[in-house]
Amino acid sequence: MNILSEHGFRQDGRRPNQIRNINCKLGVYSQADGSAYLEQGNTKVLCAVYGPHDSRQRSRIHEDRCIINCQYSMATFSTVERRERPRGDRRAVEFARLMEKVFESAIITTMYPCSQIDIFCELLQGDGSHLATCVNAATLALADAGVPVYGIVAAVSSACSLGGVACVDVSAREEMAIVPRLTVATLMNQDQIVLIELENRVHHQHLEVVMKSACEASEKVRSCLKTAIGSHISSALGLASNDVNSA
Amino acid sequence: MYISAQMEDPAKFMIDIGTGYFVEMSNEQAADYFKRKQQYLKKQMETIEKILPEKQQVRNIIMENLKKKIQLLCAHMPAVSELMVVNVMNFAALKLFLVQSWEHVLQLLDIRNKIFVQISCNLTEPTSARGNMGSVEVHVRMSPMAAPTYEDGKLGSKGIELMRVLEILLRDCGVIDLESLCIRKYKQIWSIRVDVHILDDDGSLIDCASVAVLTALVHFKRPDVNVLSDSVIIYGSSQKMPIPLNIYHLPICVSFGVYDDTQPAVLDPTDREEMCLKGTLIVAVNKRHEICTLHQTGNLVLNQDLIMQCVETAMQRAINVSELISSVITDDNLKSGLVSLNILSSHQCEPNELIAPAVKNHALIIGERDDKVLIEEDLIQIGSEDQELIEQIAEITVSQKILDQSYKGRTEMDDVNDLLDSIEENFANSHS
Repeated sequence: MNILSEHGFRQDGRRPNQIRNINCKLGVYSQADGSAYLEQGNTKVLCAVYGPHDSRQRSRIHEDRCIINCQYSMATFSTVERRERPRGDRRAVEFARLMEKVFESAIITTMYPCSQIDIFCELLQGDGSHLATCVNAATLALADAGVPVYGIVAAVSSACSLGGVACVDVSAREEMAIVPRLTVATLMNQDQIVLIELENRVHHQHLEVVMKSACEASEKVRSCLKTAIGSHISSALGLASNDVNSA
Repeated sequence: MYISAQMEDPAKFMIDIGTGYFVEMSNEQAADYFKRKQQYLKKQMETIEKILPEKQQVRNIIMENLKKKIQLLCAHMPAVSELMVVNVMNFAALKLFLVQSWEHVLQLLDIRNKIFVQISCNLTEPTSARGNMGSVEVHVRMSPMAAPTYEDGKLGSKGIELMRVLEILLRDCGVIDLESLCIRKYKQIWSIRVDVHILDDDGSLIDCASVAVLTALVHFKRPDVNVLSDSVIIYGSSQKMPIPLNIYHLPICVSFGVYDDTQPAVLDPTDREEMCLKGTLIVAVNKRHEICTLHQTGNLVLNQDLIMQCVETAMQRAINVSELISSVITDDNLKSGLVSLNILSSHQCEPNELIAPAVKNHALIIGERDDKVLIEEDLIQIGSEDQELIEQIAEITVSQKILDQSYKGRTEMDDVNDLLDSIEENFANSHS
């Protein structure tokens, strides 16, 4: 079963380089320092950021920078099959570790020595591209919390279909067992890759095509995230809507 | 069957000779026939009584040989984990099939790193999700011997990274044909366990570990299995040769240390170099120019050109390391073949052309593999007893048939005695 039909459309009617609709809402929780809700297609993620605050674990203090602590969990009802362990399994630990590495590169950690920033991601509904959606939601939550970052992190997953055509922002039906998938997160522009994660085998000629397509799609995601953050800041400050571009 | 009746002519009788024939005889002829038949049956009984004790002695000898054979096998194979007993015949004949966990140990010596990989297999019940596939488990132990910062029993960040990369390679990249490890769907599968012990760590641990694990998997052999309708027979190495795993490809990990975007990547960084680097990009490539995984440790900011350069360099190194692994495995198989040829030629008739090279290599190989040679010699000697055992079992079955015949003879004897008694009564009545 191929991802693309013979007319060049995917199963949900998209072109190969089209991303799904992004709906988001910042400031979902009032008790958290920053929070965000993000829908990327049918993948729905809630993210909350606490901190920078004093580190409760004395053994993990760094005197020159702050510590990023990420936790990822999937709700039991997020996929078609009910899961028994929403957090703590091998995949969740791996996702949390990857997100920590992304935001250690993105956040200016030297501004908060001896501190800790906690990022909690909860996947409410899973429809493919879970890691990329969580990274995007965490970016929005960090912006809502006012944590200084080098740039907006935009993450996109890309798959290589039969014939070597790259399809970005894969859905759950496209994440088949043998389809090679690449998750890329870029920082300020597409030449600063802070996360690259490959699943399944891919030929090296196709890798270049898939990676380039993913980096280009991350620019589209970044523009959506910029628009969301700009409108949130405008509504918070009470400015007019025509000043969105200044953000 | 007897009926009270009156005889018209008491001077003549119809006698049942056998096989459906009846003969008319006089009184004297009938009495003479029965006497001769009685004598014949007595002789047959005496003959059978002589044979019986001899056959029982033969049976006892066979049972003792079986016990001795079992003790020998148990003594020579201390690693035997399980005995499966399958009844082959009804008449007290047992065949013992030994199940042994096959363990091949490979120690890979890089210039700096030392990693000890042990692979074993076990029969388990599969999970319900994928009932027709075997499973692979990876266990990593960071020995305190390797580095002073390692604690016993804890993986640490390096251990978690190493276990994660090895699991990606063995599970997600499709290195092993897992479907060939299925014995019974949803009931019994082979479970491959990979134990990785880090003995010395001097940087580029994932490179060295991936090569060690892949070489050990290629070198590993599992016992042969015969699936019957109601049972599963697992053979030891003395009955059948073990079977290597189906390996599809060998993804070789190559580490690239990255300090900055503007500077080139460092190939194969050492431990001190890793301390100065921001992070490491790990590219796993196989011989067919397929990228199996991209993995990063540390905090990296890369660009596409740097990644593609690393992939190009990794592809060349993967080809070289794959050829090295193939040559090592081929050389080991050749040596094992020569050892087995030498053993086989001492027990079977082989042409002289094959005996001479084996004898030449015998002196060289014996110093390296003393234990293996001795074990295989004993096993083959035990194997030769199987033929004698089969012959003895055949004799037992023949003696059982004779026993059945002897029982029939006794019942016929009783019938003959009854007939004789009834005839004597008739004689007495006729005389009176």
